[in-house]
Amino acid sequence: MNFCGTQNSVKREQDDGMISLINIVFLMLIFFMVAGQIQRSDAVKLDPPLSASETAQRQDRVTLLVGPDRGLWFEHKLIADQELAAELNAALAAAEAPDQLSILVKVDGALAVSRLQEVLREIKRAGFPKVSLATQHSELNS
Amino acid sequence: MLLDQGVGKRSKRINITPLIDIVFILLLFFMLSSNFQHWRQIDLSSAEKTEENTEKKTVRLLRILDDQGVFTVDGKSIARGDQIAMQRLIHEEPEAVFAIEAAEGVQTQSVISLLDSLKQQGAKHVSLAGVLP
Repeated sequence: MNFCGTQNSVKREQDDGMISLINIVFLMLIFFMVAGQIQRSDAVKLDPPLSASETAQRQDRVTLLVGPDRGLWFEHKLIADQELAAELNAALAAAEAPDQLSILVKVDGALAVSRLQEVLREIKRAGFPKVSLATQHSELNS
Repeated sequence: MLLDQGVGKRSKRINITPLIDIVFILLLFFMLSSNFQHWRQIDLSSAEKTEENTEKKTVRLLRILDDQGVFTVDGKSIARGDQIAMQRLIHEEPEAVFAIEAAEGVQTQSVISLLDSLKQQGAKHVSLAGVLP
């Protein structure tokens, strides 16, 4: 007359199936924690140009993003074209070492070069010593 | 008649259901927020380069005409995929600065691909014309 006992064993058998599921979930959790990087996503979805460049991105930098619709985002803030010069100068003035400050320009691969050149000219005028372009690694596209 | 025995045993075991809930929530968080894009960068200019003596170097102007990778240099047109012509161009003057300019409407990807090809064929100084040193 052990009703609870039989009920328990049925429940335990159901739980046994769950254990393998929990194992998988743990493994996936560890994989995503170790392999993934958590970083702030871009303001607009970009398809960066592919390049064979192996240079890793520096961390101490300001970011200027040019969207596929030609919009400008400076440090995740949408700005108008006329404000760019002022923002760049402000960033240089706020930097501890202005001669070491680097700027990373993120553009869409399909963006017209003339637009990129406009932005780069503005950056050159502001006097940034280091300018780099964000790319995505791929084997050479010939 | 030990009807309560089973219940008593069960209450002693630690309940792992909330633990699994938390693990699920953590898993969802990491799955949604982690990023597997491998970003790289191309340096367009640096302080060291501007200090170098640039006046001695000759500048070869390369003009990209379209997104197929055809460019002209001194009136000759060369395809980006044409390795022999590219190598000949670079071996003529390995120390020259290869400045790239683009026709209207050319995509950034084409310029980056040409920069890559030039570097792979041995060009030492590559730049974007009229923008950066």
